[in-house]
Amino acid sequence: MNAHSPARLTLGPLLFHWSARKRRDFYLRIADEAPIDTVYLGEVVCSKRDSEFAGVRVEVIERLRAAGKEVVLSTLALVTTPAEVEAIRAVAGGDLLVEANDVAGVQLLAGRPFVVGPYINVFNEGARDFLLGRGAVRIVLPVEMPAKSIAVVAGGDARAEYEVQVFGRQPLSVAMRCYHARAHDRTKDHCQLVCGLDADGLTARTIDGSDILTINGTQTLTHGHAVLLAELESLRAAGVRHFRLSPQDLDMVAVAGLYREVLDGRCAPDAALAALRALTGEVPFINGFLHGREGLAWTNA
Amino acid sequence: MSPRYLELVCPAGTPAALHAAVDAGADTVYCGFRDCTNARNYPGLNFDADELREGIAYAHGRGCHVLVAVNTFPPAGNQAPWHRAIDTAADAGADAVILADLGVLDYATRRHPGLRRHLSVQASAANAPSIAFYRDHFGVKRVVLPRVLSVEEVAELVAATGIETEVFAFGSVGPMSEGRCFLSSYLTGLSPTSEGACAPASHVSYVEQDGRMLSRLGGTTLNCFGRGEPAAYPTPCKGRYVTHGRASYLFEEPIGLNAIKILPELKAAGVTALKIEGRQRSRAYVTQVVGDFRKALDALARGTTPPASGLKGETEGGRETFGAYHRGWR
Amino acid sequence: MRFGFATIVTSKLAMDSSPPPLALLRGAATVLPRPLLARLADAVVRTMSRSHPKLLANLARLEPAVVHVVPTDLPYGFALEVGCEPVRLTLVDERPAAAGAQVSGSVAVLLDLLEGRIDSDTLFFRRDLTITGNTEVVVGLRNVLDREELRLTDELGALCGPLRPAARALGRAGERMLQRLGARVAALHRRLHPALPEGPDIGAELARCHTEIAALTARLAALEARQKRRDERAA
Repeated sequence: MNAHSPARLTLGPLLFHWSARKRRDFYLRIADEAPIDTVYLGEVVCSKRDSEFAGVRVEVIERLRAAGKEVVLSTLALVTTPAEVEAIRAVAGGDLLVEANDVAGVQLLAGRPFVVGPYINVFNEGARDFLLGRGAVRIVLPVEMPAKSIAVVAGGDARAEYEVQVFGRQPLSVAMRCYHARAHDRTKDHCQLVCGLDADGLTARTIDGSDILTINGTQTLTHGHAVLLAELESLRAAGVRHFRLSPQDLDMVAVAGLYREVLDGRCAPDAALAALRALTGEVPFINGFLHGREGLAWTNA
Repeated sequence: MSPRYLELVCPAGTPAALHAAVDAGADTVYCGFRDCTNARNYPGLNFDADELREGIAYAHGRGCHVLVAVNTFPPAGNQAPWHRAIDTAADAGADAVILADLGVLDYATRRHPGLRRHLSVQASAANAPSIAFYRDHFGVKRVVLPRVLSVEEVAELVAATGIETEVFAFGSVGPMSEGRCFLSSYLTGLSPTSEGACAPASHVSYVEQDGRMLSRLGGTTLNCFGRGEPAAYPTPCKGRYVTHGRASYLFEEPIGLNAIKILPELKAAGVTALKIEGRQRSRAYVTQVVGDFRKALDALARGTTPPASGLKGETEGGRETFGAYHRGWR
Repeated sequence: MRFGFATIVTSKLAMDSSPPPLALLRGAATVLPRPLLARLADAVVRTMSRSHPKLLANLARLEPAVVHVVPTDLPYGFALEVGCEPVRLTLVDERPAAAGAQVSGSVAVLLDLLEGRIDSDTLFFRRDLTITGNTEVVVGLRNVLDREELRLTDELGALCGPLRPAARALGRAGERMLQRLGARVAALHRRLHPALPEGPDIGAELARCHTEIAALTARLAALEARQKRRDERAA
């Protein structure tokens, strides 16, 4: 794999609602130990959670940058209130790269380079070209996108960088309603941040007993972990250079190590898969979207 | 004729439904082509180019406008059908196209600058900067607002952007941010965003079992209804799921949106048009729903009290809600 | 215009949203001899290929499938073959082995659906309509039917166009038979369920049939008179 330009391992924004202390410990360990090149920080799911991170943000950013990591500030995926708009405007005025996850971000970041997050629909060349014209320097492709579409959008385009999530539960939807609150018989306005009770989200089962979805506040995620290890090489060949690990409540430093070894050609995907299994417990692996199948499917590549 | 209170925008899944909508008092009808270029790509539904031309002639002959939805997201490498759909709509004399994808918007803006462009709910523009973005770059004249906003939020957006807005007045309650929901493709492999069908019929099945009815999407059991229990659409967001050992409608119950009683609130918020959802519904539904809304709007335009309306039977689960318009919904 | 009669009838009556003569249709469908009903079903489809050529073309364009239509208040069902030419409608006692989907509901519900008086989603929400098997073909069938303004009684009436005298004779025979059989069924029913306080009131049902027959006869006469005037004008 070393024939290609260097592959970058990124850590996507933390989607779950962890305490400030847990977040700080997590990111400081990433800074010190993880073979990760880029870290995305910031609340993507719910603006009511924001204050939790504010107190440790500066320290975490400093430590990550001191460790030589690129820091990108992620923004909210569903923006409705003026306060939420102002929050994007605030980060847009700073000197860090910003990931827009709502078209509002694209508008507010006009005139400066920005990252297009996976919550903005870039399914084709037309959408890509328009955003590149607006200053996008990196596009994180939607999780639903199959390999052949990724190859068309990312392939042979040297104007921007392309990123794909290769580990962790995949985001499926965002809403105004809080399902975590509903599961606790509350409404969003009176949620008491019950999403904080589940560090890895709340499992929703079908009525016949299959684990199917993960509830994370207003967001719905897959139950299984997306695992694209065997596909890393073909993704690189398709023009993807950035590979996103989405934080889960498990040893992410070890996960990053496994992906790094596969990217560097020091470990075969099969062996990495077996090692990953030991880290993730019972949660199934999925890769359906990339293979053009139902997202919850698993294809042995 | 009394001045228009709010423009009534009505669904037409078929030419017969278009006729029904126009005859029942629609100000505007929206429809789509018989392919994946629109978000109601179900078998047997929608228009070909000739049917669209005939439909436009029928509507225009009665002072009614026709909008064409080309509101899905083309997959990479296959944008041509979406471009053709816009060309065809323009040729047929459509009054506007309803679009969502950035590339499709860009194409329509460059190729058909004179063709009016509306932003589809599928673009999920729920805040002022997003709306400004579509207005500034693509000359979008009207935004169909996501079904996730309260009346107060709608009013703020209208005030902040000065753009025409169209809001959902009747139909499904979509709890997720539309155009960005991958739940259906997660279970079926077919993408609503690019193939235009949420819970495609090809992947839906019903099983009768001991007087109960199980609904399944792909290989996943979504719901189970006891005898006589009202049924929900077989979409993932209307399924029953178990959390904390208890089965519930975690996302949304089988219930339909009906804003007929809060039309003055929507008018006061500065809304331009009301959208009746349901291109997948039949012309009987169109006739009844459009007829009731027409009567209500005419009464309000005259300054009188709208007559009683009985649309509960038409809604999902036979129950009605104001949805996100009133804050308690969240 | 070759198919003028059916077209005129259809467009005229499409505005008339009165329900069909349900009791009569259900009565006839219950007591008429099976071979006659089978021929009638076949003839209706053939008539519709003239009165609604687009409908038949659209049905033929669907995915090939056999849909088992089950009127829950009739002693038999129908097998509708779509996605092929010609589209076929046959009487069946059991679910055909080839059936990919089944739709069931009362005669009233199925007729309301066929004639576009009610929305199938509404019926589905209310659980008045049950769909099993290949849902795609049923959704396609529903949407294709909803594109047309259909009236079963008009199709039956249109049948009478070329065969008017014969059909009227048939109608009269049907009426007599209905009367005789109705009386027998009622007697049988009374014998079988002597103590049943409620249940189908056969007498009332028959009375409704007679009213409907009278109304239909009047309507047919009016239509015939009008058609005659048109024919004369055309000539």
